[in-house]
Amino acid sequence: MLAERIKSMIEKHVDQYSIVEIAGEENIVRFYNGRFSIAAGGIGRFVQVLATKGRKKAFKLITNIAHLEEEAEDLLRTLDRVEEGDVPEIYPRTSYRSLEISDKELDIEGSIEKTSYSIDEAYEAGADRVAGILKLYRTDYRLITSTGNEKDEQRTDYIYYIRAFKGNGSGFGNVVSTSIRRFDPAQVSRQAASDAKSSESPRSMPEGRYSIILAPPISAAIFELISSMCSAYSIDSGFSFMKDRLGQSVAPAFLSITDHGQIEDGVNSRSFDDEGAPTATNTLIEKGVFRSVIHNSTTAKRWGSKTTGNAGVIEPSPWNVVVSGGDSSLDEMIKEVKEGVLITNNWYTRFNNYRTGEFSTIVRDAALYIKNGEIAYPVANIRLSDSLPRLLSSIRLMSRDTRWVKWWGEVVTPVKSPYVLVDGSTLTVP
Amino acid sequence: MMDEDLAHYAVSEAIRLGFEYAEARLQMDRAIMVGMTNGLHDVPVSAESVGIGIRGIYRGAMGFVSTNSLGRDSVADALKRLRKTLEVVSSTGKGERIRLSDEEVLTANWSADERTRFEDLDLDQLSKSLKDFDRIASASQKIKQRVIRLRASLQLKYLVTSEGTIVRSRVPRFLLMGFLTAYDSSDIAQRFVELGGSGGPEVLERIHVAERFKEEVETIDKIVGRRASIKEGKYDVIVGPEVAGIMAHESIGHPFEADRIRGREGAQGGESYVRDLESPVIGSKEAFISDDPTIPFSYGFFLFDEEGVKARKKELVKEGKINELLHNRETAGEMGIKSNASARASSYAVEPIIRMSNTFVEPGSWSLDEMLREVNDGIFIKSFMEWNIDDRRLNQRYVGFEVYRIENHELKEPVKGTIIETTTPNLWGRLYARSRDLEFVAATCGKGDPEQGVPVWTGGPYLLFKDLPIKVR
Repeated sequence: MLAERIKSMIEKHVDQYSIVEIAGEENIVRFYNGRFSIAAGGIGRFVQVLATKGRKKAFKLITNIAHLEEEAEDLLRTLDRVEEGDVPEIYPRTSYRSLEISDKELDIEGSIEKTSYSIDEAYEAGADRVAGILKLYRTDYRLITSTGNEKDEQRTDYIYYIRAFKGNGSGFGNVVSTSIRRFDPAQVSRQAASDAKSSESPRSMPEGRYSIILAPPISAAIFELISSMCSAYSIDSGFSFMKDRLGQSVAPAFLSITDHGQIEDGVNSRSFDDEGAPTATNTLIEKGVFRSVIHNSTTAKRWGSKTTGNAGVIEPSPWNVVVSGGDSSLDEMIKEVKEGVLITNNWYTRFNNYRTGEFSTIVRDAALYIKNGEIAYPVANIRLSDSLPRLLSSIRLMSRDTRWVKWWGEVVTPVKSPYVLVDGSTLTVP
Repeated sequence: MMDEDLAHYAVSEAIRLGFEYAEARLQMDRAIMVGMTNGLHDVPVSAESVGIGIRGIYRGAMGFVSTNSLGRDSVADALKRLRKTLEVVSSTGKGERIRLSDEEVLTANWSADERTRFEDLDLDQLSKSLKDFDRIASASQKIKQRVIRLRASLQLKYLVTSEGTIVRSRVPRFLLMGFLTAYDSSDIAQRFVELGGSGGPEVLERIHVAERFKEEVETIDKIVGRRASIKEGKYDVIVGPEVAGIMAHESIGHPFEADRIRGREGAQGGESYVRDLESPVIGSKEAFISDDPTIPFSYGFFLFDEEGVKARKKELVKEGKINELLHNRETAGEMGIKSNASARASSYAVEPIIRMSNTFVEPGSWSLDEMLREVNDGIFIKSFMEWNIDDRRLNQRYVGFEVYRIENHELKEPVKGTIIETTTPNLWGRLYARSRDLEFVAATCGKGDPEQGVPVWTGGPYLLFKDLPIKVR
């Protein structure tokens, strides 16, 4: 075991350490125009080490496993020479509870066959062309800390997304699962093709303020941003509009956002964080009120609080985010809209100001104009330009149904998210 | 440091296993990042990534596999696993038939110039530089939150192809990142600063990073709290090199990537307007936009790409017309032309894909003063904060950070929240003049899945656009 070898090399020279060894297998198949463009695989084993000595600290990621001693020496050299300051606290002796949410082994062949079938289904459902990816991960973790903690666990992840094109329209589908048993790409590929068909001849629309219904892919992107802005580091460094809002109402009273260290189909699940703290379930926004800040040991000390098991040694961050509280169906939400747009996906979110929450994002894939409670026609070339605090407090309805979302670029932390109806959002056109 | 024989073994083993083509890339990336948040030291992070990535064509289909277990048994095992996966792909009947372009077989060694080698880098010096940058920001009266990070890195590569090409390279890089939040009465402003290049630590002096960072801080003190509003409408607009660079990168560089045009990135970054163009004209006769990886000390510097093709400047747009796309051997082979060496990979663990390097608007013959004399009622947008563009690269937005009103040919008060939101043809169609200047900023360009962030420069001269629509936030 690499973790034990690193431990033996550094333990006499440091005060505290947390060593996480990660052995991973990655299998990826990409496709476009209905053909597989590349099959890619990776096998990797690496170690991340957090060490402290007196008031000094250092973090090192080691993949050069043939030269572990040199890398350990480099870490110790760095530790001697860095500036003094606050040091992280490695979590005291504890026990971890690892939930059984993964498969023992990856089913590579079964996953590729399901993906191939999903491509056929998208064409069958009317797509002109499709592009997408299948990503399979098996990861073995081993934790050792200077406080006597040890833990081994294993995870499998199945991630798939597809984009179907028809005329000038497109649709998006995403599957996120920790087990092959719940991995069904054909269902979302058919929906992606259906959305592509329904948006194949989009019209332009005037710029203005509208009610918008955000489907899970875009609502997940918004809620991912909001949950990451509940991190103490984000608040301290200017990356959050949540500064000075702890304990205040920031959303309607039915909305809650919870971070889960471990949860079924939460593909970022782990029982411990990078400082050896057990991960937990933390309600960040409870019935509309900003209740909990995400901490590692360093930010917790600065805030006079306790770690929430979310280290990241510099930036504590959420693991798997679940949004709850809705009781509507999508049809009911559409009926509630006098004039607005159902937005199925987004891409390229950028902030003019994180501190005030001003941002814009490109509306991508099918967008359907709603007039007097009914879907009228598809629209295109629009951009959502809003501020997060305004958007969050202007949520009128949410759906009962929620869906896991995680895909390239836009939703990195997995989020289980509903449809969301927001009033008064600005949509702009070039 | 790297066992180059292993790359040769990987290629020969792939061919023995039935691959029609193979290339192996040993790659080592070392980095150290020191940072301060609000004047307190963050945990310094050092990382190294060493491994081998092997790409090969099997039964016509492309495969890629990587491992950081650098022994012959591990490499052979990885290749067998890849072959098995490609056999499953082949059995679906959906395998692609790849044809690489024919390129010169060569042997080359190249590196970025460096006075102080990365291996001799003094951590104390790095920490001192970090504190110097933090001191510059802390001198501001208005900056209340600040994140300063300094990143030093080294990239070593050894590439072998089954055709006989061998390329060995070494590139150190340095980067300053600053994220500054300033307050003045009701005005809250934020600014990202990214400046860096390739070479030893001396590159920071060469490209005047300290002076430029100080100027940014002084600008914040000068404009925050004093920014006026303007009316929406059409204005003559002068943009600075930073804005020119992001425009070139987003609306010309990305859509000119041939893999996007073919649809290979359709589910990620998207496709390209070039796919549907009926005319090669995309701008006025003033539009000249290039991508050049060979600029010394640039952040996106390289002399041979990840497929062993010799790098050169690509003139993407000349006189407003499409002149050349960005190709690797796969897209060039598809089109029956030569690659122009645009294949890059961010680490040993990812496939090389088509990337930009240093993308910029070519300088012209005007001075900034001459441009101002041309503008009676206009806006000068020197830098930006928010930006985005749609996935066909037509509908784009740039929100100004340092912005001034121009009245009667003179720069007036700073203004807030000005937005250029327009289409690619409208933007480049309204380009009227380019200044003689040429400046760059550093950026990390994202593309592909797995996500690959690669270092690039974006830049250009000052640009004058006539009658550009301006919105206000």
